Amino acid sequence: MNLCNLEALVPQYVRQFEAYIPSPPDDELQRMFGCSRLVRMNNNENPLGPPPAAAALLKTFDPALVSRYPSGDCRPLRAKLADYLGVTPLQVILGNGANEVIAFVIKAFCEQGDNIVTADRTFAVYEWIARFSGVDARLAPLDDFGFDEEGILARVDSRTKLVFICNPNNPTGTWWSKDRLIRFMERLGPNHIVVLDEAYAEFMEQPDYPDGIALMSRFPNLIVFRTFSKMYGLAGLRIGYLVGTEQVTDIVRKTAIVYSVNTLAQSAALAALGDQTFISATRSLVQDAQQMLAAQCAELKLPILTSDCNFAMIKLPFSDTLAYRLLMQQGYMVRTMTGFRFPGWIRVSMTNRDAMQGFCTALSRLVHSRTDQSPLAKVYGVA
Amino acid sequence: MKLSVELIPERMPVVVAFAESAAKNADLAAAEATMLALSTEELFLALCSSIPGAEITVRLRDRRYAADLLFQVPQPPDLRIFNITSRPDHETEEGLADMGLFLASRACDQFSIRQMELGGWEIMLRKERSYPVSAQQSQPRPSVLTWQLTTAPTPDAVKEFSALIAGCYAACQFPDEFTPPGRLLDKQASNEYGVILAQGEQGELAGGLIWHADEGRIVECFGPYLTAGTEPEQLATALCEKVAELFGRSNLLGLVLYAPQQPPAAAGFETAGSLAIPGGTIWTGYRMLAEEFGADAAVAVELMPFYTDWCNSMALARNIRSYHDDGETANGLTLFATRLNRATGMARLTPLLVGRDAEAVLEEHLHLLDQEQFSAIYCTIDTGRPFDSLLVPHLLKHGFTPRMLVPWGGTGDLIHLYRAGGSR
Repeated sequence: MNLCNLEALVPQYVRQFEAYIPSPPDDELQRMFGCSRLVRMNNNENPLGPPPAAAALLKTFDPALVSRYPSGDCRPLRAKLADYLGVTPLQVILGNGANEVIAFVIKAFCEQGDNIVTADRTFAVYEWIARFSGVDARLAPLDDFGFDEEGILARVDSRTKLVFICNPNNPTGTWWSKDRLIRFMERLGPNHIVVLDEAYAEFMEQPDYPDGIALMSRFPNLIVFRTFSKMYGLAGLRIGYLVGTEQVTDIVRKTAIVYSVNTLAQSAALAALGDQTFISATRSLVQDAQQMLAAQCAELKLPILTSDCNFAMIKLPFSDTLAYRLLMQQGYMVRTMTGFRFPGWIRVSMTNRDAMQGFCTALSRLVHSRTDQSPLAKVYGVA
Repeated sequence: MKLSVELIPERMPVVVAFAESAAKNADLAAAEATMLALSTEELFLALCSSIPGAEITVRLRDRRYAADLLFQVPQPPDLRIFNITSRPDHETEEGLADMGLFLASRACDQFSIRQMELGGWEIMLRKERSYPVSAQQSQPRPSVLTWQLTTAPTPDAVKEFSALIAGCYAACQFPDEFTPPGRLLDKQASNEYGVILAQGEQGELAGGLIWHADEGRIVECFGPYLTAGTEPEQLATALCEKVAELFGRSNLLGLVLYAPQQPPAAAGFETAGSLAIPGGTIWTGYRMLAEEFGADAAVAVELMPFYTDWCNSMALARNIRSYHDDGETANGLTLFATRLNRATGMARLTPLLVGRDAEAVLEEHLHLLDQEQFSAIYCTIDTGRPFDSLLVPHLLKHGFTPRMLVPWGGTGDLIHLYRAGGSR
């Protein structure tokens, strides 16, 4: 059958969108780049793995459970989360990673002609899902690497349904204090939903870092996103959640896909939640790694943005995409920041001491080697 | 504007009337409109003879600086007639049709054919608008010590920038399409081109950069063009970073820079070679926008040293397969898309199909281009299209040398080969 009219069937906003291509498996990358091992420092994963209780559960998981459907609305986990967070189970909706939860919210509140407002240099998924859903994404430039209250408010209009604030911001690690968030909410008013993405909240140790959930009674137009992928080390199981007022979650539930969180993910999250010993150990690892990297960057005279989060951004005096390739050859995979509209920067995930030390050595070697950019140009060029 | 029509000669007046109306719509002058109508007439007759009775659609794409007429045909016509070297033949009906195409390709500024992803073929005739010669002279400019970048400059600023380029740089250091100012402004308005300017507090021009992104996966960048007295390294770096920022979250994979001076290392472009040409030097740079995951590459054995050297230098992850001609069945014929720039004497050959007649077809093209005094000829080979490699021995034999590698420039990487006029 000839599919000549396929293009005519596709909405314009989908046609314009290019599919995201995730990285290939490690063994394939190792073969292509000729490295004997690969340390992933690109996805902000927890190098400690999941908390011990979750790890033990995964080891003893009964395979017979796999043939049964999971709890369609994650009822046991919602109950435990509600208890842990001080909300009701109806205020919690889980999804197959926070990305799916973002899609639930955009589908629930936006139609064509509406818009969302966020920053230009933040987590890309808000912008992507909006665009391939036919919703305009209005982007306010960051101010000194942080979300700019004025810039965001200037872009809000009567068709703005959602404002996404990534707090702390991925990739810069900057964050709004409680006072600043309250001031913003008051200025914005109740006619728009504010999504506070707190994917890295568990890493934050600053006393005035706000707990969005605690502010919901005062600002019922707040939705908070959290994930088990970062602090809790369950990225491979894909599980994230949102918390809102019951009035808001009643609406979001209409577009939420049931049964999308598998049994293994739900069980592991139940076991992992609230392990304070594990959280402290991770924070300590992150702090050590941040200090080691900052010292290395100071020695190399490279600007660096550090924070409580498990990542840092480094400015290089050459292309970030070239740095990525050269670091890959040495077995270290970082995230290039050109795609985040920060050309020349890389984002590096914090990892254990040995790997961090290895990365610092590789970075140092790279920076020193780039003084003479390409001798081959002289060989093949005319000049 | 769109027209559906059957490929029979009786329908020709309808198609020509459509072309005239399209040209008028696109604001072409009378002479240009006549040329477009003439090209349309000849192309339509050639198609009638190649695939008689087929249903085609013709539509207009107004590019502001040019009008494109796009002919969508359901099945491939006899592609040989599209090589610009097809010679007039007055003896047969088919020959007359070929002669028409020969004329059509000359009456237009660009003539191309491509296979569409979802089926069918698209033939494009492009006629560009002509612009009056600029009366604006480039004035001496004060030094601009502090500046800001804008990606949405005013029309007056764009015109001033065009005058700066024409006044301060050798003709070989910028594409002639950036002057006169009216043309650059129209190019910008087409959205295929963009202008990033650096301006002082009072709007005084410090420099700028022009980008071009059409249908491929690579953005071409030209510049930075700077005023005298401006601190060059810092501004060049800022302009280059801005264009990377602009396309960082797009689906485009890389930037290629054509620069009138060597770009500073901090600008993020990897040096990709330079070309000394009469009157100046053009520096080329490459910057990947995406993270590299690696690719398979089919490379002719003759180009292996060049390709592997550059892959090593640029840290590209490639599974390189040496491509030998073992006499296997290739495409039946060879077809080049040809872009000519008579003003600079430059021609670019892009193989669309490579077949067993590759050497003969290449020789015909080179003979014609030499006759018409094109002094610089480029040909691009795509490592993602194994059959392109069949062309390589013939290119090298005829004086082409590999010059530049553009990763992800085509289906795979593009190797640019260059031949100075008359070299064999």
